[in-house]
Amino acid sequence: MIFHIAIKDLKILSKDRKALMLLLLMPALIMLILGTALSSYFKDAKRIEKFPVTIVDYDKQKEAATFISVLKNYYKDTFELTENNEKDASDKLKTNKAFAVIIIPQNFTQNILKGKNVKVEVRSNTEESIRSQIVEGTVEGYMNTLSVGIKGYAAFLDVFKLSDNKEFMKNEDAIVMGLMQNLSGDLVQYSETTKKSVSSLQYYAAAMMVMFLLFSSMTGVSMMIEERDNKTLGRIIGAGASKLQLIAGKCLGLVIVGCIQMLILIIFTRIAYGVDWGEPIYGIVIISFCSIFASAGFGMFVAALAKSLKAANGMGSTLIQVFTVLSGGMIPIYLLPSFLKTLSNITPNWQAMDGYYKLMQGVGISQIIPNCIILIAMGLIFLSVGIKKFRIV
Amino acid sequence: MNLLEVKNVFKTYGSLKAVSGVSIEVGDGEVFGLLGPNGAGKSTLISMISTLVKPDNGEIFINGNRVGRNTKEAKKVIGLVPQEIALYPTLSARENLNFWGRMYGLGGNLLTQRVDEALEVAGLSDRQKDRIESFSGGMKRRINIAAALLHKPKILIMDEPTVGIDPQSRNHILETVLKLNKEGMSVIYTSHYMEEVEFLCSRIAIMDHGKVIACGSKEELRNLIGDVDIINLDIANADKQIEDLIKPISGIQKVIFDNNKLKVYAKESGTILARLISVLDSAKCKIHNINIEDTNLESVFLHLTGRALRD
Repeated sequence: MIFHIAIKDLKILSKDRKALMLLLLMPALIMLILGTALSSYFKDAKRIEKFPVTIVDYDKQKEAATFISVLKNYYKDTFELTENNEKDASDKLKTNKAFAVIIIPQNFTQNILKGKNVKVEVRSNTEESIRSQIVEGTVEGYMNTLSVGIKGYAAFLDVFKLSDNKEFMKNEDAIVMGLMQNLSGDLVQYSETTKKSVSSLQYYAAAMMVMFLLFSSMTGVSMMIEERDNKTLGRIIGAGASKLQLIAGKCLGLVIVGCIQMLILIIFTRIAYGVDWGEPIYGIVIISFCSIFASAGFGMFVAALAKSLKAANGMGSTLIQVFTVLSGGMIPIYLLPSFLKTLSNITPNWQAMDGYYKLMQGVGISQIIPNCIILIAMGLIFLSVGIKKFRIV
Repeated sequence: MNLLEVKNVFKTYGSLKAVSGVSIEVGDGEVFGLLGPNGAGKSTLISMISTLVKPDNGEIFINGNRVGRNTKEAKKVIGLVPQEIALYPTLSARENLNFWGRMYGLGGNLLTQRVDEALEVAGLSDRQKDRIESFSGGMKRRINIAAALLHKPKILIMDEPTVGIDPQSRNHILETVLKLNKEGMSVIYTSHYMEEVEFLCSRIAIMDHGKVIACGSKEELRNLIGDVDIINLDIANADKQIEDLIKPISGIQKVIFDNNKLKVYAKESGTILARLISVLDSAKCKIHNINIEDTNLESVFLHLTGRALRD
């Protein structure tokens, strides 16, 4: 019975050209428009060319020299590094001759060796947010690694001082340098194994697909409310189906539509726009299925709470648009204020998008498990409310 | 054993008492009529009998199965024809019937055979591949009924099945109901069209304001009021005020004027006819046609409620 209800819905949908256009062609078109229009926000370290960064060294001591050496040697493919005084560096920044300025403060070395907190300032060009983030991330990563290393070394040193090992005392400087080189190596290794970047088309392909998945659930909602109004739902119940079977059949229909929609969009964006959806493929299948389940649940939730078709369309569209904006589906999420970034976590859109981005970045399937759990939980909550509140007549 | 027993059933929506203490019984092979104006509670009662709406109070037994306890068994013997065209407009007649057949648990050759039979009953075998949206109102109604016959129910519940259709389809539906009844199917037929109920039903319950105000055979109901006739006049040059001129005539119980048609409910119509014509003449109304009907369910309803069925 569940299967026949789902098949009937698919038959009806297959005869509705307008709905098919909305479900399949619109997302492809909008992906292309947004992806092209906002591509400048998505240039990443691997794809953009080496960019100029200038460094102002007020310390001129050993630790500052090591830091500059790490930047020059290990980030030579990323940064075009020059050293300047602060005024020249500021001028370069203003005239776009440098995209970021790294300022090493006075007593940098001294404070590091004393285990004090040291802050390296990064000034950046606001028009180059991604490049700025790369510089900030590199500096922050180095400082974090250094901090851990220095603390470890201090503990190590205390032990050996207590043991009065004269040989060690003589070679203290060599040990420190060795340690720093190892740490630098670790940093570079970290940099090489870190995530792949997500291009604008990848970003919007995922965002639009999730948004349109929710919209496709609204097509299901419209069908349900229309059926309630023309009494076919009541007739199905009268014919012998239970409410649970009816809703399961409706959800199965939505899930099948969602699967078809996602399959077509993923294949289409891969072929037409060259979008890399990441790997493994079964990871894409899992996150897609969880997203579809959450979306079907969302549809039931709207259908249950809305009293009329008009109300359902209004409520559904508003919620989807709010979810889309919050999750960075319109404007890239890192450009949103931090409180909105926090809020995005409660949207099904972000959980799904984050899952796709993780796969696109190649971080491994285990990383998408939390997203999948949250999406399934959302789907279950939405469905529970839907089943409880939905009126058949 | 009665096929359907409704015992003291209540249903309230907010402050509205949609059904209030209704009890009816329908026997095997009976065509039972539910007559009443719009809003009388007929559809709510039908929804409760069809297991779609839970009564607030009372019990319903269908073929010995109590609704609420053995609902699944109860559903198996019911065929519901909703007031609305409960079909999928973009699917063909055959696709619709196939779907409803599957909902009744049919499949394979049996489903094909039953769909063929249902299309024949509807007289639409030649249009089976056409979409429902391309059908006339009457054709849609016929498929709406056919969909309820696929599982050969013992009891067919028809909620206002002839609303808004052409006379040809209406006759087809009425004849179908009689034919099905002859084949042994019990029918519950609700309508606010008095003529249909009078034509089809062996027993009738009249509902008003959520209550059954009278129940019995046509003769039993007519006997409730004695011999009130309805005088129908087609007149010209009249307005609504004509009702006030006629009402004072002795023996007249009710006057309704609508769209140049005057309906007068009166005892001993023969004796007041002359006086009635005289009043209309003095009001300068031109009379085109006069006819006198015997007591019918309309006059019974008027007698019981003080209102006409279609007020």
